[in-house]
Amino acid sequence: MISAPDAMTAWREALLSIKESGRLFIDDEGRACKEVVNLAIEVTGTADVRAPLSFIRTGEWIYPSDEELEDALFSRTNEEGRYGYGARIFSFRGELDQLEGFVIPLLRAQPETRRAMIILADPIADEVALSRHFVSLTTLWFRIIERRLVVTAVVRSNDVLIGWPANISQVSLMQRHVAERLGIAPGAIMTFSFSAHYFVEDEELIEKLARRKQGRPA
Amino acid sequence: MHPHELAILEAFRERGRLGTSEIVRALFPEESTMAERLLANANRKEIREGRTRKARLHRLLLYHLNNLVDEGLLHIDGTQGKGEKLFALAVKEGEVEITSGKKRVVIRKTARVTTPLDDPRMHGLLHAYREQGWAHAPGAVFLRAEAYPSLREATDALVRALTCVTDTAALIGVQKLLAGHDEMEESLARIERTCTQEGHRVTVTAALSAADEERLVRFVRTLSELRPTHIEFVIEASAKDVRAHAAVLTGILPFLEQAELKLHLKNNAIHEAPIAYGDTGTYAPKETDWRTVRVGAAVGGATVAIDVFRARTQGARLRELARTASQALFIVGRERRRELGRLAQRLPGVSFAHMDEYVRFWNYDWREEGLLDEIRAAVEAAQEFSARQERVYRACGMPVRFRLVATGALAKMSGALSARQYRKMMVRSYATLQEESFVAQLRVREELCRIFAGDRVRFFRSEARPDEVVRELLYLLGTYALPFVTYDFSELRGNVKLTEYLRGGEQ
Repeated sequence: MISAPDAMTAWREALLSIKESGRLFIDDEGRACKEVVNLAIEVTGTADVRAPLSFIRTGEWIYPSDEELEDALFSRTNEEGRYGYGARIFSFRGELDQLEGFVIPLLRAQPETRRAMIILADPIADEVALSRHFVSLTTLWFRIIERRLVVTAVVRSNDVLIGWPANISQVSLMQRHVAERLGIAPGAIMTFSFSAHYFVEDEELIEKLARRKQGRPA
Repeated sequence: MHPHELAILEAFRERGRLGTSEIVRALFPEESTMAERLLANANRKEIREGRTRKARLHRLLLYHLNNLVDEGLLHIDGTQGKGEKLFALAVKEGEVEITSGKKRVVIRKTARVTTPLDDPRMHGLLHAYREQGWAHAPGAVFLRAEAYPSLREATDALVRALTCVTDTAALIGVQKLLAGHDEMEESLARIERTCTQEGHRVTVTAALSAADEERLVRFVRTLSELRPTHIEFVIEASAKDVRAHAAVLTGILPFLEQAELKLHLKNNAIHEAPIAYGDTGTYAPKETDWRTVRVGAAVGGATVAIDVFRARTQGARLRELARTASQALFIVGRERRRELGRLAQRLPGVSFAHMDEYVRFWNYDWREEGLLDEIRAAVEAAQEFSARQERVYRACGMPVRFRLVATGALAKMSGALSARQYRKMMVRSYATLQEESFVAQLRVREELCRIFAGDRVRFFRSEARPDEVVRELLYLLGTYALPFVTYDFSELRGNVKLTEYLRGGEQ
């Protein structure tokens, strides 16, 4: 498990850990990956949660905007026929608002509950036997510890270099949203990735990140 | 404020610039459809009734439109067609709130999407198609004719689709709906009129092997009587189908030639899914995508054309240009994704899960050394970029589709494209097809068709008997892997060659 006081340190340590001890393999699309399984990354202070986003946006790609990241989490509609987190959270199978209809009232009524969980995976809707698209962020678990809202996100397959900055930022948005509704402060965030990996073709960026001193660009 | 005026302003929330007919259609959909149907009728009395109804609707709205112009909320932004006024929001970028009683309308004039095409170094090298609407509407929508119970209802859907695209709409597999002469005439006239108003093109396709031969010939005859300038007719067939139904083709060819219509043939053996074309060029979805479509699909997003002639004369690398074009298309597609909910409401049953963005190549001379390799490398660069973007978004929990299709461009796409440099293919007789230079040119086009998706290869044909054309088509389809062949008989009239040269020609 990796635990750090800020998102940037946690991210860097996670990537270096995969780089040093990860297993090299070729994925089903023929790309070389390095992977560590069952990796827990804990960020105890979430003030700088957007710092990894700022860094990853310097890559040679067009990264999702803040608005897109927020929409993915909070938008209930999706016309493209693929999963969207928002639809799963607020209208699971068109029936259940998992947040307003379950998690928030439950945490209000029973602050010590261990049942405050949102499920995003839906093997039927995702047609897992037929489709390549199976949701990655599968579960969000909320727990109140010492008047702070702690969140654990379970990620099936996590590109830690490219995806994790978005994941941590989105989980933090959700955490703040729920914490505000409950009138408490946000606490730590943990991500638990079944497959924590990066693609070898992106390794140069990890080197750049490793060279970077905290608070100073590489 | 009058309720009609509020409704007019609401119509401008979707598009920044609208013609009077479009506003009439948005406010009074049923009444305007009825007027259009009457106008497409062969009966004079009904046509007169259609005109009266249409004029009444226009008069009613013009009063309110003028009020909005006087109040400084709209301004006249030009004319279209036969002098029809175009209106645009007079507000600057941002939001305007209008309150009338309990009703509140917020109009947002969308900011223009900034892309790498704005870089002055790209001017003249990369050309965007209809930048004003490209982030708000798909380029092409294909509808399955079999999803509609009658030609009339399919026409209603096609007309609706034409108001939601930047380039073209297509009705695929019309053979199942071929009806009586009057109904076909009414539908075709309505489609042609809407195309003229909207500035779009429509493709209607029919599968040769599945069509009732007599009805198909009757359909082409009706089409030729109309002499449309915005409707393209595509026959979907393989060489085997052409051989088996040669009599139908010989039956329809005289009508097409007489009306100066082209014969488009989509080669089923090479490309199973439909191909249609608009002013930018062909749209060719993949069979794996088209197979899942039930009613219809937005198959094309935006288009950026690379001016190959200018790139080569200015020493710009096609690979870099393709990458820049891909970036622009990604940014535009990202903006358009926000509009999908609204578009889905306007086009019931139409899927938005299969939209491809188009990088088109304009003005390349097949004889230039190394050109094919350079085009291939450019297409690879675009595909690499799109694969990476899909991966980045998927990693962030957004499994978006960003597929780029590379194919040829048509001169109609933009007046800013360079003047045509390549030579057109002219068939004078069956023997022309065997000439060494012709064979060499066709081999290059065949190779390009492997790189491009559904590219069109056009042949000019003069003084041909229908049976000769069929024989030539059989040879072409049997010998070369060409997905979409066009026989253009316009040289038969003797004047088109000059006009083609004057307007720069088509790829």
